[in-house]
Amino acid sequence: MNEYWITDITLDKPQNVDMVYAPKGVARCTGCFGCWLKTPSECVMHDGKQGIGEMLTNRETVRIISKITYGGFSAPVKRVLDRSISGVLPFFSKRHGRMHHAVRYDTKPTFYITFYDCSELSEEEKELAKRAATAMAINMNCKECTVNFIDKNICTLEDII
Amino acid sequence: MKTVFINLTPKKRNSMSGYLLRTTELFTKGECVTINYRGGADDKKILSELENAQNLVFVTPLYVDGLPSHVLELLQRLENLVPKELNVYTLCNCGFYEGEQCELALNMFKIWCKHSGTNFCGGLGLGAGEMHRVLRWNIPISAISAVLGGLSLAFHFHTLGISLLWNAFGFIFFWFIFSLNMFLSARKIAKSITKSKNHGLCYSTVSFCPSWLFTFLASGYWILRAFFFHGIPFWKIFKRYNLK
Repeated sequence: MNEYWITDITLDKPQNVDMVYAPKGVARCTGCFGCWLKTPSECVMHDGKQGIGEMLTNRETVRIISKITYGGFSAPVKRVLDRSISGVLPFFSKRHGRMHHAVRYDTKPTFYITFYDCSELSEEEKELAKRAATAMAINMNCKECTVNFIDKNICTLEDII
Repeated sequence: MKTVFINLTPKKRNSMSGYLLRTTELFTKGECVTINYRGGADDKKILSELENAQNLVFVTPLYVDGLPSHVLELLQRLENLVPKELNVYTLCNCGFYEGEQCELALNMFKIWCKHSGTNFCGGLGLGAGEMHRVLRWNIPISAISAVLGGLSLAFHFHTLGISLLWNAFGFIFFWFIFSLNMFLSARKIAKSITKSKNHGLCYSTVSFCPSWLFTFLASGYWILRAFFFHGIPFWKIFKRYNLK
């Protein structure tokens, strides 16, 4: 499947999409670097999410639907993203004037990030979330990253697509 | 003056966050308490220590351009419980060369301070974190080399002894010269913490080491670590995930 979604709210899964509902069944990254050095390309913790890195960096489209927490992704979504460094190599390369991890796959995904429940957030927090999402997507070798904000606290498929 | 340091690394030992914390704590005057955060059970201990503290220092690794998920969860739980008069500082370390890549995470703590009503006093973003951590091994290697050098000289193996002593000097020299920026930055923020004054956002990285040298050394390090610790030859590092 060429599209991968990460979401922290329950959504009807569209067809032809791999989706992970972040709040359930995702172990936390322990920072062991095993996904680079011991079992390259996959996390050493086999909880069914060990291939998250490949899904984030080797799909044509990646969609992330998340609340904003302190100017970044929500904790459940971040838990998924923390496990994603297996999708890149431990070596460094310079892109956009800064050091980033060298790419493992040839695919350049298009990222669509939707932050919802933003009505009471400051512009500073939304701007920081946009920058954090874009930085993450660049590290995943994205072709393009689009960030949207939705004020309401319920996000539906119509809001996302 | 009481400062509470919270080490937010998930690693139980030998972490860069722990190293940065201890280095900064060394230069911080007054009472210093360190909590190695392991999970929700530590919340009570943190809040208890903060009751009579003036400064709170979060020490965290950077994960995927932001805060690790367990740090976000902790901040959400503490938001409405921490004393409002606290001065909050952040020490963030990342594996990239540029300490500036920690800027997003440092600003996330600034946002948390606005939510919690505490006083954000700035922080330090440190680059080349893994390199700094590994450089510590130069100290015991240097010590062993110095001892062997001394023994060699004692038993009249002069050439070997001199070589080993130069070796010992070299290891200590490179540890110090590459880590100098980190020590100076830690000392600078420790001064701000001691005086409870605003430090602003500062960034640092490995000293006397241009980015091309860092890239070269880092590549060698990963290759050697994969092979000697896990038996993975360098070409297997490039393996692609096979969806079954």
